[in-house]
Amino acid sequence: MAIHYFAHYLLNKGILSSEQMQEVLEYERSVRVKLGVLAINAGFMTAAQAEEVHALQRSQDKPFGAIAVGKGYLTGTQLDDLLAAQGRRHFAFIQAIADKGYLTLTELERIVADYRRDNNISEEEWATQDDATQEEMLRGLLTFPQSAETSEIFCKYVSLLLRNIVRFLGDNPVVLESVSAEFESKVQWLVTQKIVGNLTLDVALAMESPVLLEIARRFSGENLAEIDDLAIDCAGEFLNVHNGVFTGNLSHAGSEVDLMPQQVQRDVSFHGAAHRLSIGLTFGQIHLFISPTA
Amino acid sequence: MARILVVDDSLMIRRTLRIIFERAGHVVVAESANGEQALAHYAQFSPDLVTLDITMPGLNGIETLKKILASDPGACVVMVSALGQKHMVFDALQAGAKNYILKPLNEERLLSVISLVLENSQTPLMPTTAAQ
Repeated sequence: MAIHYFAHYLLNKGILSSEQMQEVLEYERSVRVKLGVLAINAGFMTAAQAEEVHALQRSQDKPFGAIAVGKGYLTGTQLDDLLAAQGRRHFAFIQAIADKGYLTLTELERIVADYRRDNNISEEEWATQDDATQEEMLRGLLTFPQSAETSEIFCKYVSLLLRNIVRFLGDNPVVLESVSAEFESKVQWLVTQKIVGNLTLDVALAMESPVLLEIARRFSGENLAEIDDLAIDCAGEFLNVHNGVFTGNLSHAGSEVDLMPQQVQRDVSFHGAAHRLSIGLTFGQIHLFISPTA
Repeated sequence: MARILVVDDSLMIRRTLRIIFERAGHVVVAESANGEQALAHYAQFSPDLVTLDITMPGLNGIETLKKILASDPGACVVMVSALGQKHMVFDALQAGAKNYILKPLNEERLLSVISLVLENSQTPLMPTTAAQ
């Protein structure tokens, strides 16, 4: 979805900090998207008109839609479309930024317009994007200092991971930070797996306990109350399935690779040279470490 | 109704397969977490069908498949794996697996393949792989 890359744009432009973005993501879970945000996003109303209607709502006991239609800012059909769109989660992200007070609707309208112009995104593309477009946008937003071939692999891997987080965990991930370095840190949970063959990669997901439990719940669809063997296994299986899809895609492109069994370790010291991406989710952060196997 | 042996090092997958199979009226005679356990359970329970993961620590799925078939050439084994590699599909079918299913599991597709394999247990079938 374009909204994920809009989030990256806000970070890269320094409009929001990583800390603010994580707060927005966590707040997003509770957001009910207001019609004003949807109307602006759809191009039905301007930010000034939406703010005018919000102000009138404070003095009149009427819903937003009724006031907007009465002022001639919306038609009945447009209102119906907006009400149908209200359930779509990705708009909750923009609503969350406005609710947290980081940007006004007017500022958001201008920044969205700048973003679309800078990235040649049409109105239709803003609503839906195919995988190839998303990958291209990711390539523009993240830089991997490795060789061109390795960077391309990393880009495909990260792009697929972000899509699989949406697909399997039902969340909207945002890359908060991307850095290549020597790392030495202790993590609560580390899920690892090696990809071997004519492409070799070490991949690891580091996370804290509440995040592991939530990933396990969402991936399994089970109401897990605590981190037990099943929860640990579910977190490992999420990485395994994701890597399986990735290696399947490589297979279609002619590569022959295998997966080693995944591992989940607790309270482990992680060290080595890798590229790290910190990915913000509505329930916390995960850190992806990816490196070609030495 | 079939008697099924589930082999996978993932507790989540073993649990999910058990739920799917029992809901469909099959009996899961045992769950094996690795290849060695699978061989012991196969000898003990003589299941009608085995679901077998490829990527396992120790004895992997292909090696386990070969050993099961060595002890029972008529064994019905369906590979279930996250690994979407064409060469692995080929290797498994060459080694004698009846069919191949990719994770993430789709209940309808899984039961359809199981039914097909059980009905045609004497004939090798074309593979069924999940579109990703």
